[in-house]
Amino acid sequence: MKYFLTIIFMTQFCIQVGIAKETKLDRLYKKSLQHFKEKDYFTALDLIAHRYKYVTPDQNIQHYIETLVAHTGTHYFNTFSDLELRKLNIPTTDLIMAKRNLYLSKFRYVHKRLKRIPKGHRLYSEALLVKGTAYLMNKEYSKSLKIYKQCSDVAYGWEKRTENKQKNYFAVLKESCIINIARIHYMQKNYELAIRNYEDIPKKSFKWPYTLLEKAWAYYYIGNYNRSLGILLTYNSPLLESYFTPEAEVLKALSYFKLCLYEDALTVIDKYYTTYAPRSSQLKKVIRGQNSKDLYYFNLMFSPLVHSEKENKFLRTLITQMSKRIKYNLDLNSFYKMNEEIYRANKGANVKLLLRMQRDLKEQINHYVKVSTYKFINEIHSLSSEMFNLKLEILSRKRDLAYKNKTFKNNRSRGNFNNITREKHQEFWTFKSAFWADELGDYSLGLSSTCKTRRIRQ
Amino acid sequence: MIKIILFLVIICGSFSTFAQNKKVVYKYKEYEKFDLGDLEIKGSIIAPNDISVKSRRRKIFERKLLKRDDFNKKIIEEIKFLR
Repeated sequence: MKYFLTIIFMTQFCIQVGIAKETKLDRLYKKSLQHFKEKDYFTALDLIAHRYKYVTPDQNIQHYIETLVAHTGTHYFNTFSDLELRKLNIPTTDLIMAKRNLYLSKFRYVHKRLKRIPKGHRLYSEALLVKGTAYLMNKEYSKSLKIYKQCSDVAYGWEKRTENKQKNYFAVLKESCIINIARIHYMQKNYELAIRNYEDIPKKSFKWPYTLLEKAWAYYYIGNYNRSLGILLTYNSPLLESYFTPEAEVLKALSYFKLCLYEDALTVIDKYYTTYAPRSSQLKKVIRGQNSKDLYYFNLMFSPLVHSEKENKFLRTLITQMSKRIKYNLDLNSFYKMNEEIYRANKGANVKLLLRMQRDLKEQINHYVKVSTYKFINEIHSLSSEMFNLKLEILSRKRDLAYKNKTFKNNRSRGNFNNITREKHQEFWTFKSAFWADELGDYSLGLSSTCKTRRIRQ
Repeated sequence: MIKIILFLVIICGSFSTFAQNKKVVYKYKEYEKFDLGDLEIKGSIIAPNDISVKSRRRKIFERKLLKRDDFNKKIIEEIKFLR
């Protein structure tokens, strides 16, 4: 009898606790919903997501969190551990976990996480991009090509349905998938096919200037050095000044070298050493001087371009490049929305929490800009060793010619139309009443290769 | 008596073995005549008549110039730049 009473008592106690818990969760949900109605999305998200770090929410709550994330952005979950993300069990957290596994080359878990994202979800095209990349890194090229194709189609569908910033996001996703298709063909040495895919990127796209370098590499490996040089010359246009990339200079020198135009190659190399390398060293000095300042890189993004250009020309280049990236824009969008929420200061808004969240976001942006800046500086310095190598090779070739008592058969000339190879769809443009920037990216030099040698007569 | 006879036999035996290890001195021919004109070597002469140096191909040291086999690093970087 005693035991029987104890069991009944225990059962009642458990039910009571269960109800109490439920009501507490319900209250939290209602409170969060209230904030949502008042457009305090960040407060609402923190309230609900924090509670479900260790308990998987039901479908209704999951759907609610997804709606909130659409307003706040995903950066809130960046500081969550894998275990906490797994508990939330929503497409947003699945995508974040899949990406983390991709960086760790744990491809099996990438697929496991991505499988859970529904086809109609707004993050589905990004999930396909991650999936295709997982296949690519695992050297499953045909599967990767198929997924990237699917990714560009899905993203295109969303691009047509959405507007403004969202439209841009899906356009970038679509283009990223097309570029990755080109990259797979490039990797498999199908350079013509790669070029075809690169050409699918519209000139107005912010991704387009970056494809120029890759396309120039493809032409370089085909052996069309004139076209490669022509494409690289596009970076000299005032419109593309902020897209300076040091690798383009190396490729330029390499192309001249392959045409045996050693003097031209040496000019490019000298310019690299006399202009870009010192400028990069100066940038390093400027940055090191300010490094101790709190959130220096974050504040740098908001300083006037004229001012940053005065400090260092590369600084302007870097700021322009970074300000066009999707991540930066999404984070900035969240930052401004958070600001709005702080200044609105609705009843019940946790300003202290919001300020802490904003500080977190500032630090994330600061770190991201810092990493990008140092990557740029390091790239210039690592490529300067490649330039030095090329210079040595040119000097060695010149010495060999002298030892053999030989010289080049033809002198360097201005070039000839006969040296330009064209595809069927390419033609010479007269530029009669045309916008002068139309031709960007379609240049080709007509230089003759001077590699044939002759013996010097005494 | 038997002991004395045995002793004498042993002593005589040892003397006979010493007599067998006599020192032998080998001597090479003190004089031998070689007729060099009579010697004949079969084969052909391959050495050049005049002094010459065979031209040698100069070793070409090719440096490893920058190659771009893939853009995998960029692909990962771009995903990181998305969000």
